[in-house]
Amino acid sequence: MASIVNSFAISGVEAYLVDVEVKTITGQPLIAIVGLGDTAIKEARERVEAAINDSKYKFPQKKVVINLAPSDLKKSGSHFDLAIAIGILIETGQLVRVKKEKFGIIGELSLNSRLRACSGILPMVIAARNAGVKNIIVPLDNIQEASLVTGIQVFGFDALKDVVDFLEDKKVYQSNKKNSIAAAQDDIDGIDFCDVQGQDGLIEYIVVAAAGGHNLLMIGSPGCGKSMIAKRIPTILPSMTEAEALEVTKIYSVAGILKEKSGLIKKRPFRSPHHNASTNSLIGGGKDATPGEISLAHNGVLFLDEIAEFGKNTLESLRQPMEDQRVTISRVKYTNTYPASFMLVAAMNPCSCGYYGTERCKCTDYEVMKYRQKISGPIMDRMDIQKYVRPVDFIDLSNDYRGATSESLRQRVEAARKIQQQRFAKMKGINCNAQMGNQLIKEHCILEDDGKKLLMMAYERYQYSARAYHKYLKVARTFADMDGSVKIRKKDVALAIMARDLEKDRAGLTVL
Amino acid sequence: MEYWIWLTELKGIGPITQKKLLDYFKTPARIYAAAEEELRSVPGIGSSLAQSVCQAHSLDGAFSVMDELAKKKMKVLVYDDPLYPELAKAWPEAPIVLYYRGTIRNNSIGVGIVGSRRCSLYGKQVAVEAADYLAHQGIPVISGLAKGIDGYAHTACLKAGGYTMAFLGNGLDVFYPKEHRELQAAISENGAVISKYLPGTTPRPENFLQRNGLISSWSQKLLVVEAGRNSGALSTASFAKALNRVILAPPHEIYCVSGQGTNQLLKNGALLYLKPEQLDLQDLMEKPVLTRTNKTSGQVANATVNHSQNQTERKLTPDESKVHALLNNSEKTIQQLEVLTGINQVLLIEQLAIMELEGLVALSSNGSYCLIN
Repeated sequence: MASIVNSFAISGVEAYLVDVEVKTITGQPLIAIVGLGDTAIKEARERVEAAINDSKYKFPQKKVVINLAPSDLKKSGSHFDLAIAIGILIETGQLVRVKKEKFGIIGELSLNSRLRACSGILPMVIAARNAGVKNIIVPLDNIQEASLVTGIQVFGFDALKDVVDFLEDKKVYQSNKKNSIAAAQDDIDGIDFCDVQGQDGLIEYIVVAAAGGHNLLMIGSPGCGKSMIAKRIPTILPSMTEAEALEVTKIYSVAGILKEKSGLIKKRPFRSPHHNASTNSLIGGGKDATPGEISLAHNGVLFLDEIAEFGKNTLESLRQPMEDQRVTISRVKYTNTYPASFMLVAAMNPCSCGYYGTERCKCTDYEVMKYRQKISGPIMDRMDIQKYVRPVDFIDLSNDYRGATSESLRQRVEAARKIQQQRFAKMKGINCNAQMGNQLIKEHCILEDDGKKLLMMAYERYQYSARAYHKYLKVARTFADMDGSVKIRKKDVALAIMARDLEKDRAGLTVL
Repeated sequence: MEYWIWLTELKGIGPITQKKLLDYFKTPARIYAAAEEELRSVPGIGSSLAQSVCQAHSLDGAFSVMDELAKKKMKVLVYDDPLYPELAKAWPEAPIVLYYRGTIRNNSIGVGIVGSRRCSLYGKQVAVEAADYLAHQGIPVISGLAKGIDGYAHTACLKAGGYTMAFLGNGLDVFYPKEHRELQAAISENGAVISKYLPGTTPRPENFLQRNGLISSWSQKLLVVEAGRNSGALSTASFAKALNRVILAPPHEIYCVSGQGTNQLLKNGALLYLKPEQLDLQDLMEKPVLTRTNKTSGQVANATVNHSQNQTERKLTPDESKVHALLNNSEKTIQQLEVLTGINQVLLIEQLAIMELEGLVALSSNGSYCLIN
């Protein structure tokens, strides 16, 4: 009878239970691993053989067949090593299990039989719990991450021998969680919004964008502080709920970038891919359809600096994920769906020379328009707030000038978010004002009379489309929420009207 | 028609010789039919020229050009067409055949507006104001569809509902510069895009010299808005001077590199341009077709919106009057206003938004606010 050990495989951000079956058959010595494993799994035979020998066990001089069931699903990763090794030891009678409970086993082996950390631990442990597995063995380095899951007993080990001893009940398990790494988690990078001087007006819009989840586009000449401001946006974002944090950690775990950090990600992610990013790196893909930047920015900020320099197709590929808040990557044999609910923050120059509006700029209006058209209408349409960032003349600033701190701004954001959470409590998939559809806008964006009058005035003056009209209402809603006002007041409308500089700019260009 | 195209496409014969032949034979068909001896009797035609004219006895080329023109919806303006203005014929090198898209109106002589491609805000302002004025006077705006001043002149004229003509240095189906593709299409709907070059001709530097000549020949007055020392606009001006047309130029700062060419023109006797009324054409048959609206000329950025309409009579709030008073002197950025009034930026934005909507202030493209009176 074959020996069976439980392990797990990853598919998207979810994992499923895999039976690692080991059978020795009389015949020429060889190992065959079947069950659609990738190269990393095929190479497990060398690592396992070396590790078994290193731990002073005997590797069977027989034909060894290893099957990863279900056998018709593609599997990848090096975390099956430990399960395979344990399976072989059981099959050859070198390990006599005293502990009879069901164990899930995850871990990569080194040639001298140590256990190495793996990616995707969190979803695998969640899958184990959901499959009714009560105990799980993981590499010691991953114990922090595995312990995030409640309702399952986690055992962390350093070497193959320790695992065998534990299963034979020769040694009592001593938990020795590493706590040192946890501290590294909450590193504030020492950046704060009060470093940004003289841009209070702009910062107000950024606070609103953060509060309402509105996408934000900053336009400004080189060196005016766009990136400086963007980098500080995570410092004012509301903290994540437990569920949100778990979602993010899962994605990072699958993407394999959690290894070093372990533990739960509590800070909202901030991703800023360079503008030569390929479409696949942005939305996800590659050989194993791994998550892209938009999924890594899930529940956080995706910052596209120099958005006009991104490939057109790459930008357009963002449209659907922005609408659905998730992305499905299809390959012939399988599809992976990753969550991708992010706030898009983008920065660009106003024209190709970068100095539009100053004496230095010699771009013609047609060139300016051409440059701005690099960003397609649909993408521009999704940018609720488009603000100019004007360089600050330091002569105008008094010396004792100090802007609002990130902490005080964050509190305002949190307060506004709370109002929104109550508003959309019954709505599934809607967390903030930016996600409101037309029906919800009608229901929740009720204007006071003089506010309505002002908006109509702007509507006629700038000849807005009906769609733009709704955008302004959404932004005005967030402005009202910032003050806790139930109705949208005149001042909210006035501020919202100033939220889309580019649209007004268009009217000023001498173009057809 | 085919004979005209045949004649203009003959190798080794330019517009001047073509006109000599036309003077003698009256129609191109007769030139086509003429014997070598007869051709040789025309003054200025040598034996080798006469021989080559006789040898080129095939209309196939002309017919295929006509097919192409028909397919591409281009029209032909020949030298003896009544639409070909007499004044334009004053240029000795005036082409005997021009291809165009759009409509050439009766009496299409107008005012030329030319200038550098990389122009300043000042240049743009001058060009836009002049073209806008001419459009309202019903005077054709003549220019060359280049980037910068040319583009602004055409655009401003079209926006004001005027008639404009663009002369190209390339075939009509070649879009150069490519940003002006839509502008070119718009001009052929509300004016004419004209070229002496066959469809498919690519823009070459020497073509533009010829184009500049055409612009001058079609302009009774030429406004050179902005030109550096070696600007192409100066070549247009020298053509205009040779044709005895009125040349005007606005003054530029003497240290301003982009205005050195125009300042030189002024020194050499060009008229000092100070206001658009100087561009009126006295002997123009058509009188104003549109009435000029009242508008501030200072703000190009807001030239399209009529501010005075929205202005509501109401009392300003104390904060607003503070802002109003400060802007009275000069335009200011929001940071400057913050420091000077002591009102925080968020409140200021609120006030300014309302004032802007009511047409009291305007935001210019450099980010500072100014008053509208």
